[in-house]
Amino acid sequence: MRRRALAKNDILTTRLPAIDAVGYNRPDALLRLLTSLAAGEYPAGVPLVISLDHSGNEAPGAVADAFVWPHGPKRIIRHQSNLGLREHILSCGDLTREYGTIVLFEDDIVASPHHYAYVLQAIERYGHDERVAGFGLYGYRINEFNNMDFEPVDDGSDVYFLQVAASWGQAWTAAQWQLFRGWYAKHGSEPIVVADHVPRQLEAWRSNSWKRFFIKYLTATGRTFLFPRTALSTNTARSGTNTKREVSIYQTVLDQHARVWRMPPLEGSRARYDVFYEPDPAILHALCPDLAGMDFDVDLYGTKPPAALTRPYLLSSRPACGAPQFGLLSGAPPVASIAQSTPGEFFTFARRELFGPMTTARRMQLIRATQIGRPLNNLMFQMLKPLQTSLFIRKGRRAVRMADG
Amino acid sequence: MADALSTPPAQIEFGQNELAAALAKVAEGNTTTVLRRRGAHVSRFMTSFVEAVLAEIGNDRRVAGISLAAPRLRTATVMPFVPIEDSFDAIFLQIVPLVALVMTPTQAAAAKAGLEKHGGNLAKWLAASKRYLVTPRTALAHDGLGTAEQQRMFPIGQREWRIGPPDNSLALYDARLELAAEAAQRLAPPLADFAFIVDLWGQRQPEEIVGDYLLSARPCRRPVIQFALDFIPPEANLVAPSKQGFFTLGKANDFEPMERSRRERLFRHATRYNALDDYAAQLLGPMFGPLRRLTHRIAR
Repeated sequence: MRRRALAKNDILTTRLPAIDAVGYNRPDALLRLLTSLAAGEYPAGVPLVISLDHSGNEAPGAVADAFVWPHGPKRIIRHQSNLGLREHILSCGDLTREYGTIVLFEDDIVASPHHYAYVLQAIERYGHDERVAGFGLYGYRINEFNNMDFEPVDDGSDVYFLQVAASWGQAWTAAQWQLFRGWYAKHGSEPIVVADHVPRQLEAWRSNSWKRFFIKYLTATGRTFLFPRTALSTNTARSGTNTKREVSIYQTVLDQHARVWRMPPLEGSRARYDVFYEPDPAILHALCPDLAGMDFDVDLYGTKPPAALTRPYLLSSRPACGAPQFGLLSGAPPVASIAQSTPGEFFTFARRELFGPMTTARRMQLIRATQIGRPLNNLMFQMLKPLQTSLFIRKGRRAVRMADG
Repeated sequence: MADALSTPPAQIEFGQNELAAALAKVAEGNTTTVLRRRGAHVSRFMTSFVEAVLAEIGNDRRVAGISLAAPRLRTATVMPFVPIEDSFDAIFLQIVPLVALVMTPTQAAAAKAGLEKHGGNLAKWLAASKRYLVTPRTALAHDGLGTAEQQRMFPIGQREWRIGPPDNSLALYDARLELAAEAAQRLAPPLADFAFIVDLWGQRQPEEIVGDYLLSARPCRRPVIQFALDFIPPEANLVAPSKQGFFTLGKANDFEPMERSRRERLFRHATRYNALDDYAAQLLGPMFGPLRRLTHRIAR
């Protein structure tokens, strides 16, 4: 995608970004979020918007009314009808027109006290770069599509780029949001399928998810999202619309101290990942001289669907004969094996057609080497996860068929 | 700066039972030296890290040296070791992974004396002398393909290292990788009024619990301050007292032994997604509603 330097007035305003707390029917969770926000460090005059979707439950409104926001003006938006999660978040995004930038937290999120300084610095650093479609405050430690551990390479900066939209604490400038809204107006009613070069799991996500459209937008337009290596928000995963039981799976490590963020320009970052949490081939060009100048896809986890593999060469954990080959570094993410040129034959670089499908044995070997926790649990979990995805996809398709009569 | 660093630093290889001799050699010399175990891999960014540590805290009396290897797991477990994030690029540990150490001659001399005094146990000397090894958050050395425990991803980019003194750090850990009491007090100011032993993982032996107070995951009959089990790493929960107590500060003799169920809960929380029975119940729930209800009842 071409880089266009937006006029400074397109994005950067003198207005302070507004904090947007999103609630529905969980008063305790909302109070907890608001309490964490109130403990944050802000310049004077930061607006807080509490946006409540209609649930028939009066308690979240009472929490919002009673809450004292000591850092600036407080505004409560009470929707009179139930918008659903997708429309509610879209309406919150539209608040960027009024406030310039919004920092959005759903009610199962807890914010670090230092989140606002990060957002201000991100706006200054990337606000003019339309390739960056938003700023995540959450820091992934998990691949959301296969629940495998995710550890971005440490390139010396405090941030990384991933083609996945943040939904557990995120900020959008008005310009970023307008670009998405323009795309959504044209494509928001189209189905999301693997042929869109997105993970199969997106087909299984519920129709009320705004995030799957934003992810498709990122892949369709070649844009990306900024994430901090150390999180400014964490997901407590209280049971609600998208989570049926409380889990710690999405918890991430919150920053406990202020810092000046090391934020390189997008092209200077060596921690750039695609929608499958696979590293950008250009990064591997730089790290591994054997791969320099080659046109290849990266599929170190062996999970990309055929539609996502389009280049003549492939670097993958799938079985193949070819060279160079790399061993599997235990206790580190797969990309470390390539970066450190680990001797062995687990990952292969070869022409795409020479690869066979991923085998269960290789998958287990990969899981055992790279995942933290009890090996048996990890293996069982990773075997069950695709089954769950298939069940959800089937359920979703059945619902569509029934709706179509 | 106590001792000048040569660039790149000198290196000495050591094998099993050769650490004392290697320390003696560094102590007799006049330059900062990397003591590298045979077969260990060292990152090319090691030199800049060592330079930054020496420049910022090279003279700190509590710094015993540098360990370039960063532990991935808690000792002898499959639990991840996740340090508290305090904006610094280095943490402070009283464990000694024998992979790659960096010491000035002064530090090596002190370590050699400590080794002799404590029967060859460097970790015991660190604990007794209240010193720490400075360790990068991202490993700068691992032991090659020797053991899975020490293999790690190296950094792939240069940076201006942010190094703070141990007196300002939130990430100080003892030989059990328990948070140091002083770091716990910085995280949770209400703890500053007490002298206590930290036992957040419930693994301390009775002889280790020598103070009046204990901060522990064990069940406590009369809690003084409580903290929830919500955030990761578990130590991060100290930032705010909570009535939903899992960790408790109390009188040491008010604590019960660690229960299996609490240990399991802590384990599941720390590893984040390995509650397989819960997951299976969720997956199969639509088909086996009664089974799910039974599983939840048992779990409760």
